[in-house]
Order: sequence, then C-alpha cells, then structure tokens
Amino acid sequence: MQPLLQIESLVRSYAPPGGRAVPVVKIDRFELAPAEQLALSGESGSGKTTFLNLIAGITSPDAGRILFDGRDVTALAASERDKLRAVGIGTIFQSFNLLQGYSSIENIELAMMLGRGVDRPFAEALLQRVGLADHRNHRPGQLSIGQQQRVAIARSLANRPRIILADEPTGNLDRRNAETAIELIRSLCTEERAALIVVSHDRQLLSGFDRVIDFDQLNQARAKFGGSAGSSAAQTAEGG
Amino acid sequence: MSDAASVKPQQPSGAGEIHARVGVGAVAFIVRRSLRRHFLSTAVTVAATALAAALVMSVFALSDQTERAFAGGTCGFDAVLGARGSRLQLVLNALFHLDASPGNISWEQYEDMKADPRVAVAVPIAVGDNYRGHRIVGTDERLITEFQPRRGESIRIRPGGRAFDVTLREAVIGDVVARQTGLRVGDTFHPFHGLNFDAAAEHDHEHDEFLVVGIIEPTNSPVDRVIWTPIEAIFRMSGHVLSHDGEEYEAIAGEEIPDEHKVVSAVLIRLKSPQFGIDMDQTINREGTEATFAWPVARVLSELFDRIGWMSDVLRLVAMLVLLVSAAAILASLHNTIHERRREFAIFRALGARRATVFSIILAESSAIAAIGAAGGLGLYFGLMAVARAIIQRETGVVLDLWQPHAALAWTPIATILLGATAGLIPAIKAYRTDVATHLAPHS
Repeated sequence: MQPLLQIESLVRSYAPPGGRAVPVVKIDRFELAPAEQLALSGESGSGKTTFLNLIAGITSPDAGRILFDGRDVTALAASERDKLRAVGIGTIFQSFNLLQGYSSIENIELAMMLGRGVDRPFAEALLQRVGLADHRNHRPGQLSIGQQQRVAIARSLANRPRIILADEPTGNLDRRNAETAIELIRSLCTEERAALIVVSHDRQLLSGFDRVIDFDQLNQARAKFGGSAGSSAAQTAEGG
Repeated sequence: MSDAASVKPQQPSGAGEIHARVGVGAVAFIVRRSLRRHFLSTAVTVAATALAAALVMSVFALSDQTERAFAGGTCGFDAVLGARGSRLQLVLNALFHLDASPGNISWEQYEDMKADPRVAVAVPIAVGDNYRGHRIVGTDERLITEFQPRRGESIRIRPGGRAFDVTLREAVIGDVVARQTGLRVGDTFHPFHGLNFDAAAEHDHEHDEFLVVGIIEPTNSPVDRVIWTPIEAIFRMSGHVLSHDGEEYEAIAGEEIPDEHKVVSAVLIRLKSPQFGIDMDQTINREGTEATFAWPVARVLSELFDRIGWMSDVLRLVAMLVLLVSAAAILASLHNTIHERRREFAIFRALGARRATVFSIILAESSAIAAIGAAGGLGLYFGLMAVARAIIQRETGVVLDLWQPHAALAWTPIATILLGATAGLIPAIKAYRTDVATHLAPHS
C-alpha cells in the first residue's frame, strides 16, 4: 500500500539573530500509512512543532521532499499548499487556537467555508460527537479549557482530512482531561479513517499508541531550543 | 459523548472545485462578524464617513441647485429697468425681493418703456414698506397675470379671493405671508415704514388700512413672501414723499397725482424678441446715464455665482478634505486592530485560507465600512438638504428640489468606497504578511 506520507532527506534550518543557520529538523526518512496512528515523543524545543509545520505546508523546508498521497508538497505553489491544508490536513494545537469571536458551531463551519464548504449537519454531528451539542452557540470564552479543546478536535475534522496533526494537544489539560482528549482524537480518527500524528513530551500519555517514535532519534539535527520560547523561535524560520 | 453513527460518510470532492467556493461567502461571513465584534470603532468610523460623504454631496448639489434655482428664476421677465447702479442689486431687489432698492426712476421712464414697440410687457413696482417683515410691493394688475413663478406657470389666487382693485387699498398676499402673519381674506392690516420690521414705524393707523382680498396659491418662489398692493396706494400712503430729481411731492387725498411726481423702484420687462435686448442695453446702459437696464436677467443672476464662485470652490475643497480624513480614520481604525488580529489571521491561514483571502478580508472590511458610510451619507444628505432648503426658502423664497438628481449623488458613494478600499490597503498588506508559525505559537 502506498504510504499517505513520505518524507525524504528533509532539512529545515534556522539562523538565530546575528548567528549562522543551524538545522532544526533533519530527517532522512519517515513514512506514515493511511489511517495509521503515530505518537511522536520528545522534549520541548526538539523541533517537533517545526516538523508538523513542515508537513502542514506552513513552513517550507530548505531541502528534501514531503510526499502527501504521492504528491510532492514542497514542489507545490503556495496556493496549492493552502488548498491541501484546507481539505487534506486537520490541525489541533496546544493552545487550541479557536477563533474568539465565533461560537463553537461557527468555528467548525468557518473551517468548512475555507475547505470543502459548509455542511451544517456534519458540523452538528461533530459537536455532538465531542459532547458539546448543547454548547453549539457558546464562544470559546464561555467554555472550559477541556471543552475548548474538544471544539478544536471537532474543527480539525471539519473537512474530513486525510491526516490530523496534533501538536501537544493535551499540553494545557489536566491528566484526566488529557487522557479523555487523546482517546477522543484517536477514536474520531478511526471513525473518519484519518491518519494521526500526535506530538507530546508526555510519554505516559502516548503509551496506548501501537507506534511511538522518539523524535530526538528521528531528528538528526543537533540544534536544540530550550522551552517554548525556543520553540517559537524555531517556528519563525518561515511561514507558509 | 454520543455515538459516531451521526457522523456522515465521507464526501468526495476535488480541491479545485472547493477553492472556487471558498472566496466570497467566507470573506463576507468573516467581515460581518469582525464589524460586529469591533462595533464601537466600526460605528464611529461609519458615522465619520457618512458625515463626510453627506457633506461632499450637499456642498456640490446645494451650490449647483441654488445657482440653477436663482438663474432659472427669471419670473417670466427678460429685463429689469431701474435706477443707475448695480444690475445684480436691481434684479435681486425687483424679482427676489432681497437687498435694498438702488433708487427710483421716473414714471415717464416707465411710460416710455411701456410704449416702446420692442417691449411686450412692462410692469412697474414700488417698494419701501413692510408688514411684519414681509415686503409690500406696489404694482398693477398685470403682475398677477404676467408674473411666472416658473416658466409657463402663472400666479393663481386661492378660491374665495381675487386680484386687488387698483383704485383701492387692497392687497393680495403670498402663501408664506398668510401662514406667518395669519392674515386671511377680509382681514385688514397697517403697513410699517421701511423694508425691515420696526414696530415703532407704523403708518397712520386711521388712514393706511389695507384689506386683504386674495391669497396666492403656493408658488415656491419669492412671490410667496410678498404683499402685493396697487402702486397708487403706495404713492398715497401717509408720510410717503415722492421724490425725483430733487423735487418732493406728497399725495393729496382726492387729487390725482401728476405723472411727473410719480416714481417707481423698477420696471419688470418682457421683450417681444430677445435680440431687442442688445439694442436697449446699448442705448440705456452705454449711451444713457439715468437708468440701468439689467438684461438678460438669467445672466445677471449668474454673475452672483461668478462672484461667490471661489467660496463654493473652497467649500468643495474642504468637503473633499473631510472625505480624505474619513478615509484616514478607516485606515487608523483597521490598523489599530491588526496587531490583535494577527493570531486570528494565522488561524485562518492554518485552516487553509490563502494569503489573498486574508488580504481581501481587510480590503472588504474597509470597503464595507465605506459603503455603509456612503449609504448613511445619502440619508444624511437628504436631511441636510431639507434643512438647507428650509433656510434658503425662509431667507430668499427660492425653493430647492430635494429629489433633484445630481451627479454627486452617484460619484460620491463610488469615490467613498474606492477611498475606503484604498485606506484598507496598508492594513491588508500587514495582514497578508502575517507569519503563521509565529502567531500560532502558544502564549507564554
């Protein structure tokens, strides 16, 4: 079976202010099968977010290829990458990144507007699936942290993507909510036959995955960034 | 959490087809929501834009309409003959009942004009008195038949009234006079000396009593503000000293006034052919020294606007500057929100919005603010024009047509929207350049 995602000789460097460019991500080979669920563990600042941004087409690589369903994402024009991100890739962020002025249902429908078009019944079904049918008109500020993350999970599936990229999706949740969230993400991906890459520094949380990769071993880059500030610095290397 | 059964099966869809649908709907939704979220700044900016657009439309339309209303208000006469002096003052005084009379001319000059074979109609008028601020104008019966408030229209007297008898102290009053003074047919009144009302300047209470015999139907012209009486009654009013060439005469009851003592303020003239005006202009204005022949009336009136044209230009310039300032307000308002909205733009981008989509959101937002402002400006324009119309009517009797179309009503909204869109360019470029990865990073 052809892999959904293939990465070959991927390099992304970052030059700190006044400094020389050093690689942040350097991955020789990586593959993910369709509907496969994979956990990437690793310390903060190890380049995991940059890796996910590279897959999502938010950040461009310096070298290498990223093949999504056989298409080389790195060779696509920016607008083509945007299209792919809109319909093929769902993203869940550590800080949820919900749109503050929009209700739960609108957050999902807006993602649909930018993707395959609004499908109100499906949006309602997603909200029901994450247990927030009664909170469809609540704005993020009116939801608990756990509820916000569940809206973000529902939104990531709004356009029936082929893959979900979850970047520290439980970073802001307590243990019980974190386990519930991971379970929810996994079961929804199974139902929707979407592949999943979950990135987390919490190895215990990832123990339920069949395939867990230590990102520090996958990534051959020697440059490391300390803490979230360092992570942000790495992310600024280039926008999509 | 409920069962997954309610999640529908996957729908096949091509990416190209999808992105064609993304554009307008999503942008409109986001713009609508953003304008609502930033309600206060949106409302203030829209109000500023509406005021600016209304100002531009009003200044342009008002100056053009006023000029047309005056220049077109020749009242059915081609020329005015009066004392030597300003042609404009003569016309404003004789036809619009504004300004002071430049002086008197002799009855003989009026008779000469009436007898001139080139003249179709010559109507004398005599001014100098008022009733509670409304000018009393002495004339003859032909004014009622020959005066045209608008081209082809004659004065009509309300049912129950009639024209004055030239041998009696009778009066026909304008519609505004009737409304403001409460005078009705059958009422009497006592005139006051001078053109401006002074309660102490009342004429002889016993002797100078005028009977109202008719009220003119509204004409929306200066006629509405005037009281018309027989010219003979003006000559015979107590205290009126007829003076011409230094000789003074006061009318004596029961005795005919010799023509050499009669004077008129002006003669309203309709020529048999417009080309006769050239000859008469030559004879009276260039070769003569006693009178002024204001001809053609429309051109004389347009001189008024030539004189104050610079003022109109300044007003237009100021209005345009105000419009520019309102565009700057749109720019400032959007620019101030861009920083706080960068995360929002990054989220849109992460969800698949193209840079161009983010750019167009801001551009659409600034255009929408300008468009709403322009629409509000149109409403305000009619309000401003209604106020201006009332003031101009009160002061001059000239009535502007509120609904008369003017090019400014079309180009101002278009220019406002274009300016608004231009004002959105800088914020839109900033939004376009938003770095996705940086702004999606968790807040520390």
